[in-house]
Amino acid sequence: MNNKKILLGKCYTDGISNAFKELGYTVNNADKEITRINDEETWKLVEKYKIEGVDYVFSLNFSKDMAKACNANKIIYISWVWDSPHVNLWSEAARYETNFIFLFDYAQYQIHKNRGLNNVYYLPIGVDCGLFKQMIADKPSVKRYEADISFVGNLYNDDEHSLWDKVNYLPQYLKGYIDAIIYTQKNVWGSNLISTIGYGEWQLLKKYVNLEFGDGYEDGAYEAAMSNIISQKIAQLERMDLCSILNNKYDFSLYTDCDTSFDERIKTRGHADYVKEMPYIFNGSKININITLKSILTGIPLRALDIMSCGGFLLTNYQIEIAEYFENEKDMVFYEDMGDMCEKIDYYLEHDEERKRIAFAGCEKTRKFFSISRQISLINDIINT
Amino acid sequence: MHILMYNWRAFSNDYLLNNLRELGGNVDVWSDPDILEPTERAIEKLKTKLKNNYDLVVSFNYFRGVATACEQTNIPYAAWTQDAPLWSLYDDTIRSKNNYFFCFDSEQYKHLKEKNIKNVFYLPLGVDVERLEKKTVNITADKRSKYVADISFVGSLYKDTAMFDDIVAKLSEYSKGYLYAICNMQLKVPEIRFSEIEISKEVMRELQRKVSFEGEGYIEVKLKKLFENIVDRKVTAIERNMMVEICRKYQNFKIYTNSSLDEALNKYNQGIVDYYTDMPLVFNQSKININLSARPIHYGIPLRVLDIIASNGFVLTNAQPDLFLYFEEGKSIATFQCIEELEDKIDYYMDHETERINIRNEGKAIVKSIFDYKTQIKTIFECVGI
Repeated sequence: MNNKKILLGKCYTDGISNAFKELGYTVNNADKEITRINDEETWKLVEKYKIEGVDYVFSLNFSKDMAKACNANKIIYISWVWDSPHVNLWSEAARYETNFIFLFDYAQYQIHKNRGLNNVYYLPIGVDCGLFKQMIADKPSVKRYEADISFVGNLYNDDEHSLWDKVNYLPQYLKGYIDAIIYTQKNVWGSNLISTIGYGEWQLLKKYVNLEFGDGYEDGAYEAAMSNIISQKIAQLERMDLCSILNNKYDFSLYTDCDTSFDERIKTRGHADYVKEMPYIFNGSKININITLKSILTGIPLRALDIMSCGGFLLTNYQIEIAEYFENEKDMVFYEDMGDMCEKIDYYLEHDEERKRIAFAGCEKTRKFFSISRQISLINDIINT
Repeated sequence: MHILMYNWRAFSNDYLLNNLRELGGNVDVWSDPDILEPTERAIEKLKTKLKNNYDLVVSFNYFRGVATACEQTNIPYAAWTQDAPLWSLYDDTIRSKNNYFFCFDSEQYKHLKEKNIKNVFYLPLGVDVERLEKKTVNITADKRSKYVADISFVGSLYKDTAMFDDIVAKLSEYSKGYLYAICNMQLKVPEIRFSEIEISKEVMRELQRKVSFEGEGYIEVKLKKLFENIVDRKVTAIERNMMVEICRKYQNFKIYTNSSLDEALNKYNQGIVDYYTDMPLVFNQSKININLSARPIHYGIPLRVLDIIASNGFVLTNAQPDLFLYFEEGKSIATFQCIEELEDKIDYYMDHETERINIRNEGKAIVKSIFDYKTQIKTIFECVGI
């Protein structure tokens, strides 16, 4: 026991909770996602646990209300951000000395460091490798999840994620301007073209597209939020394309609860449960596709790590950080565009042995370097320095 | 070796000629302007000339009239590109088996290779280091004071953007916004190769409807490629203008251009300078020479950069991709990613003289060993097999 008490917001699995316990923390689990509870509930939660002597609060992503409540109560707030850009980081509350903010995307980390946030750190995402390993070991194959190619993901054409489509009036000049960015960004990874939008055009956007922020947000918040909205629009176009093309050519399993009526040939298998189904899908599919949101400039998205940690073969767009930690065609495979994706699919469907070797190598590496327990121990090191 | 060199308005023709001769070539020069069209007569005249036991025909860039004459007389034709895009490369004559293409731009090289042309090679441009060295020794006091500068820029400002401006004037507000965004992205994210920019079907259709594009008459070039070139030139104009605005803040800034400048900027303009006699002195006597590669050249190392370095000048250049095949940033070349970085880089190199000189010297050593004319010409001979 290390005499430290930590309050954990709800996470995907018990992995984070277990990792802190293994490090000797007394762990209290709040049953809610900390970024989804309102201001009042947040304060109540903190006040309750303050009385019980909690030293730390931990959440995935950053809640400005929690940051304030912790700051007021002299509790350390640890936030591990798995979204990029994360608009809440532009709140004034992000600057509190009581925060420890861990960002999975290195480019995003640099942006916030340049804004003068001294309490930000770079830390890639971790996955619950232990849990997935156990699940696969218990049930090596589950027939109904087997497929040649699988894609698990949001198509961004649902209500919550298609905000750009809801913009009902833009001057034509501005519409053309943003469309050029959207269509070009589809073909380009690693550069954020949304950041090229000129000052005049930003003013026009702010005039015609109103985004609600509430108080306490600094300059840059609008641009970050708009970046998310436009990235989601791009993702929508890309993923709809991807589904149509793959569905037309291959034995393709799609897991999404989004509407697929844009192409009547496509049948979705619905939502895939993160814990109960996803590991078997990735392990049972010959090839798993990852296509990263453009707003994630350099970072390794959760999906890519999920796939590999479950023993799945990963076929993904190029991300700088994936290339830094993993070797192309040894641990996973990059595709350059849809044409190249299909060529690689054709190849790897024909070359079972090689494909399995790659999946195995990627899995080993992910379990070694991207486990939640490893990442949490790195967090532990930093907060105790 | 009996060589015919076709000369037409390329920089550095004299250097190529001298070096071919110094390598033992018996070189004749051919300059018939009617080859450009080409007229039947011009082709016949050249064919007659070629009956005199020639081993090779050489030119900068590519002329289909020359290619036709060479094909019909079965003589190899080495075409060494100095420009991009080269509209003449969109002609069917490129498939002649007698053609040997030496492309200075690696993207241009790839495009030709993709067309399954047999003899295509990537070959950066050459520079006559020895001659340039001689010119930059014993410079008279007069010339020194004429050319000494903190910052120099030699080149066109691409002021004639009429093509772009005329087109935009005819388009809808939507298309205008679309095109301005494209120009803006090109300015700020130069590593985007143009082929990665989507021109939506809607904008393309409007372009086809409202604008008549003049290609090179007889050559069919894709609309997108022609349009790409117009946008590239517009972006070059914007960028070079921004460069002038940045450089004018410095004490001793000299620009050598025949482009018209705003009245306030006229005082910086020294007018045009002779390529052979005085340009090397400009490069040599300036602390920093700016190179902003013309945007139509997507990857290739422009001749300007090599000339500057060979004249013992320090060049601060945009980060043209092919440079990094040979030079190392901060060690043998100084580059900037985009125009927004230029000012900081100028300040830095103005303050760090030793580093500037080291980079200059390292760059010179590389140019001397890799880009010397004789090295390049020998490569041409080897590839052609003579």
